[in-house]
Amino acid sequence: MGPAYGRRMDETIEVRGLTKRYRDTVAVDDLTFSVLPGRVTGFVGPNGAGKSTTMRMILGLAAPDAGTASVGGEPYVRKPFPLREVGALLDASDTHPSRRARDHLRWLAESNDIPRSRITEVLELVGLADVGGRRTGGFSLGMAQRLGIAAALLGDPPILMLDEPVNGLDPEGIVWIRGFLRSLAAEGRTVFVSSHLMSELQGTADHLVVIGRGRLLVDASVEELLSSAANGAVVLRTPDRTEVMTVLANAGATVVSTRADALSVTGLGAERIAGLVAEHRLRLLELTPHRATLEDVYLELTRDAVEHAARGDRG
Amino acid sequence: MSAIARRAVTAEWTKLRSMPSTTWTALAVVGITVGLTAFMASTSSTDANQAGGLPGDDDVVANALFGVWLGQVAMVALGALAATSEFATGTIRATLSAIPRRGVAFGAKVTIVAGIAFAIGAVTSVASFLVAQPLQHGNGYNAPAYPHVSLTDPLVLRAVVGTALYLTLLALFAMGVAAIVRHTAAATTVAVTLVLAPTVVLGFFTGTIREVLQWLSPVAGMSIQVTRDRFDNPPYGPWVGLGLTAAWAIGALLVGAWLWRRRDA
Amino acid sequence: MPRRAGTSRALRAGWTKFRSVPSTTWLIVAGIGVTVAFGLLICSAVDTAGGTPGCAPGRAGCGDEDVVLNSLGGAYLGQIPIVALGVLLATTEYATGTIRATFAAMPRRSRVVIANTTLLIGVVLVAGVAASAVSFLLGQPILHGNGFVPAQGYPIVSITDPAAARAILGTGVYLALIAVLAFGVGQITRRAGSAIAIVLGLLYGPAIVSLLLQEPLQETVQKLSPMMAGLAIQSTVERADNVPIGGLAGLGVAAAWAAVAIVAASWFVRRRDV
Repeated sequence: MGPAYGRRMDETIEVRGLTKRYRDTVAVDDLTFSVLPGRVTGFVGPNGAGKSTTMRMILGLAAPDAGTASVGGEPYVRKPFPLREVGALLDASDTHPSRRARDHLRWLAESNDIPRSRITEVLELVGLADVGGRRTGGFSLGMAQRLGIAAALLGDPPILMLDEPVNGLDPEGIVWIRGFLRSLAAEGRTVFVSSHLMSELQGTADHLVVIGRGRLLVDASVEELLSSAANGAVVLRTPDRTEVMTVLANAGATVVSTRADALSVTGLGAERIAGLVAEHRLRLLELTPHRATLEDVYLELTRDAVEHAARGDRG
Repeated sequence: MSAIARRAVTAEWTKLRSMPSTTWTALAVVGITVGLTAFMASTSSTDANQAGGLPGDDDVVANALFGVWLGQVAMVALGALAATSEFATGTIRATLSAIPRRGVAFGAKVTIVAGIAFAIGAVTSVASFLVAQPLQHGNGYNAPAYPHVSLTDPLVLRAVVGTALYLTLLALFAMGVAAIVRHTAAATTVAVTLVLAPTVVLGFFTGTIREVLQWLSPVAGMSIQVTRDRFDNPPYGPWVGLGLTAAWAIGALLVGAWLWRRRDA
Repeated sequence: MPRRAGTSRALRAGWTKFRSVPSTTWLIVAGIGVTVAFGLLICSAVDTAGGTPGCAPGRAGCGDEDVVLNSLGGAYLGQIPIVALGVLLATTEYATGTIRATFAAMPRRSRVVIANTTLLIGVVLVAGVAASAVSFLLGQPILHGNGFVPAQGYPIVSITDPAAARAILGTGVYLALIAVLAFGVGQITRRAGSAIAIVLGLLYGPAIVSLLLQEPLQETVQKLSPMMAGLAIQSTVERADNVPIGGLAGLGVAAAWAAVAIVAASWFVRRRDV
């Protein structure tokens, strides 16, 4: 599935100082970031952080109180054929339950002069070709989600904005969509995917925009994040605890003792530790490097910003 | 009342109180009624230039409650929304799992809506009556042809309290329709139609058919406001009329309750 | 690749949306059905003894029954499914969330409103004229059977009679305008329940209220009321109880109500967050 209409594939989403207030809360607070083509950009934040609101403002569905959002250099609402430039999935249930899936895609296609052949194409792409004639009210959550993705792909757009696309998919579907998003980005498209679970994006996203309480927390590539993070501790077990602790501390590491015979070492790589231990003829029972995951990074970052922490939730 | 019933009623009261539509429709009932009554009272005078009327036969009490003819639409909306909003937003599942016996749940709902409707109805009819008095007096409705009336007069009391009862019955009627139809738009359409259309439809008919339609009209209960003999009075007495509206309300509730208990939520 | 203008695309998409949901078809059918059924009921119930109140057979001044109006009276109830249609066309999108898909696909929101309004007018005009024509054709023989014949002072009216044709077409126009009014109110409130209550109140309320009003206020209320003025187009005979406004002027009043509703709706729609 390559680009069909000879459009530029270098379209960017630009958000500058975007702000949105509701009564006395600030849902989106002076947000500035760009989403570039050719990679998957993850948009991450706890529930209620302002992700959906931001996406709605980019699509012109909600008006910002301050700031601008533009897609491909102009505001979304100025585009004469928006679906051919931006394919968006906001909420899979935004369909009329008595309307058949094909008809839902059909009116979307007609609204933007998209050829009817695309309807069958996208249904096949997402695996819904058999149920095109069924009313959307009879769809399961996973099927509705796939239909939403199909709708986003209808115009073969260079930009894709998907709000929690993994939500409701079965494991097979999750694998499929991850690969699919990566292939879209490989074609040069701009892929903007939101999620409240960082673990979902591990392996899929190349770049991350992390927000909390409407504010930008991080705007960096995944590589940067993982390497700059306290790159995980190395856990080791040894009967010669005191000696090992001294040796490693002298080498500049930070050593913390955890359980009875375990140590957690940060600041030195696993190979270096093994080397030092061998040098001083100390014994080693276990050496496990603990790779930092995005989840760790994320939890660290959003620790203060989590709105609905179970502990403090009074709702 | 058993403990379960008491809990059910409290739960329904909480739910209803937290719905914004309850407040809006309640305000609409009072506002529309009082507004329309005020409009009528300030623009009518004692010359009877209504075709078929006689001079001096104006029913000042009924006129002081005239606004109910439109205010009742809001009351119907209140009843329909109280019943159907649960289906639309999905709290019905939470309700049914919290209170196991469906009959109790429905009964609790009816009780609460009846209570709220009566309170709103009482405020509405009293306010409407009181607002009309100075306006009517200013337009010539004074002794000897129209001696002043007060809330404590037996006829006035019957009309005012009766109107509150009438509005309550309408809210319950709408609830019954909503329980039968289980869809807000349809329930509101049916209920509002049955309350507004009869008066207009009646105008097409004469003779026996007209009288039959009057006996069948859900708004027959407006007869409770009649305190004088007039050419345009319905062919039944005040309490009989109220009974006819009650029949509509009870019938709708019975069918609604039966369907509620039978169906899956 | 040829590009179609924005409004015509909105129209095509709107039409697909309209006919791909069963409820819209059912409401049109109901509108036609109720119009015809109620019209026939009226025709069956009317006899030549009616007419201006105080009339009795043989008295001077009687013989002023309006056979055309009687056969088209079904619209007084038939408009209710039409009101529901207009309201639901607006409110269902908000209730299902489809409105987001609609405005993401067509961000020029006024175009969407215009397109849907045009669609409604087209569909309801056709259905309304059809319903009225059928009511007329089926109703006249019933009236003849009830004594409305030349011998009693009632010449036979055919559908090609200019007065009859005017009334039939005018009723179709009225119903289309009411559908647009309902659509506008639905866009403003976004809730089916309140929109239906408001529109039905707007239509029937003045009729109820004007019963008790005195002149000259009664005349003013009638002339400004969307239903009473709007259906004046059905009158073909001078009667004492006619609304004192010409048929076309009456339709103009209904059109004004519809126009205000649509303009207000557009204003709200353009500004709101979805």
